[in-house]
Amino acid sequence: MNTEINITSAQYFTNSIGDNMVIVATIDGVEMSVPLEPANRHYAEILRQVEAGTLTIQEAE
Amino acid sequence: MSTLKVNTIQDTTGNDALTIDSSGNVTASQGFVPSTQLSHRNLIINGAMQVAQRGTSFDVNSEDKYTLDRFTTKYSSGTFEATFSQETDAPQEFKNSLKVACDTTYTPLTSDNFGIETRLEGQNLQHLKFGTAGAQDITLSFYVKGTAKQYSCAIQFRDSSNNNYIQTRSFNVTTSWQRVSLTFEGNGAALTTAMKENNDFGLNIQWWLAAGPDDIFAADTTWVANPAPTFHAVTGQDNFFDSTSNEFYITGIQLEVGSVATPFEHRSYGEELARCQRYYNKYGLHQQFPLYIESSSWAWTYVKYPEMRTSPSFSTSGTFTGVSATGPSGSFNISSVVAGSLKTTGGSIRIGKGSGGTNGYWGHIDAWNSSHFLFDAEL
Repeated sequence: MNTEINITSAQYFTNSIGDNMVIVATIDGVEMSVPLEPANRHYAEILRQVEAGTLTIQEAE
Repeated sequence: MSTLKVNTIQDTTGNDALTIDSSGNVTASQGFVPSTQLSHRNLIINGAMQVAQRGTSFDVNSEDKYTLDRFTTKYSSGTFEATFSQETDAPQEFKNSLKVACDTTYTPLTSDNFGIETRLEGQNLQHLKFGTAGAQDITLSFYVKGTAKQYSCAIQFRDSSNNNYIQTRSFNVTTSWQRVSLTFEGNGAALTTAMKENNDFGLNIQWWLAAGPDDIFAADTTWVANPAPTFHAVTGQDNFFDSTSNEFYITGIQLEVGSVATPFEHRSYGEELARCQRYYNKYGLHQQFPLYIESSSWAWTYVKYPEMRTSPSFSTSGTFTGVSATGPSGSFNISSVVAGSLKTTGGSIRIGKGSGGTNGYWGHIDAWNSSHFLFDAEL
């Protein structure tokens, strides 16, 4: 079994015209801005946890 | 065994090719063509444990966690608590080592595993010629000491479909520094399966300090596809976590093409740091860091860094919020710091601000002088 990176929150962050720029997530207790880039390990893990149903990405405020 | 005593070897036309002086120094007069490369042999980054951008001591509690640059803990399941640290206890030719100290005892069950791992990009390993009849042997060498134990080392490569292939070996640790050399032949699946050829990981190396009974097998000496269970340790594997007195030190890690471990290829701190910054960059800030005021709510700053493996995740360390920025249009308070658009070579940081300052002006902030932007593009 592979362990998960511990992600406790995730929310899109948009630019001035409303496009999603990054996901602001709390990862292992640290707030991180995660780019929407599949080769980024944090983004890949976020997608994996969303797919597994264990994480939801909140829409931008 | 026989001995040839000469001081000169000539070619067939009588030209000196090799001369040997009275001290045994050999000079090649006509050039020297090695079968393996002389420089850049070592495929490992930070193998001498010099670079520690994240810090020098790490409390690890059953988790995957990067410690010294390029080296992460590798955890599957179980309860493993340890302290990782950068030490100056090292063999004579080295300055540093990575130390692991057991904090809590635990007996691994079923497929529980814990160890150390480093990950290499596939695009940097294509000269291993995996997937061809000429697949290369590779040799891993490293210096270890600590509580006398037997542990396991696994090398895992990955193809373009994310199938994994492994070989494993055991090694012994004693209370004094010794060099371990393990050769992994270019056989089995390496003859037919190419390694992933991009910026994703193509190969990783695991040093298992503990493994559950379901994961212990005879050494895999031929590249095995998609092993089940995923991780394999080797028969005779000891448990690092059977005493809180247990210690493990490692440094001088080298992975190279061929079946012989050559002397460790030392690199300068600066060169090693630059290599590490492709994966993690602790970006130091300075006095009067500039900000551009875009609106009543936002200011921006921009950063440039050496090219990273991929667009990095962003976080901060030190003081960032609750401090004041100033400029010709007045001062304002910083409320948040979030990445804007970060690419592999740089990008924008969006600064949340309170009232004050005028749109279209630049401001600066002094309080970030000892703070850092952290960019993470690790594998």
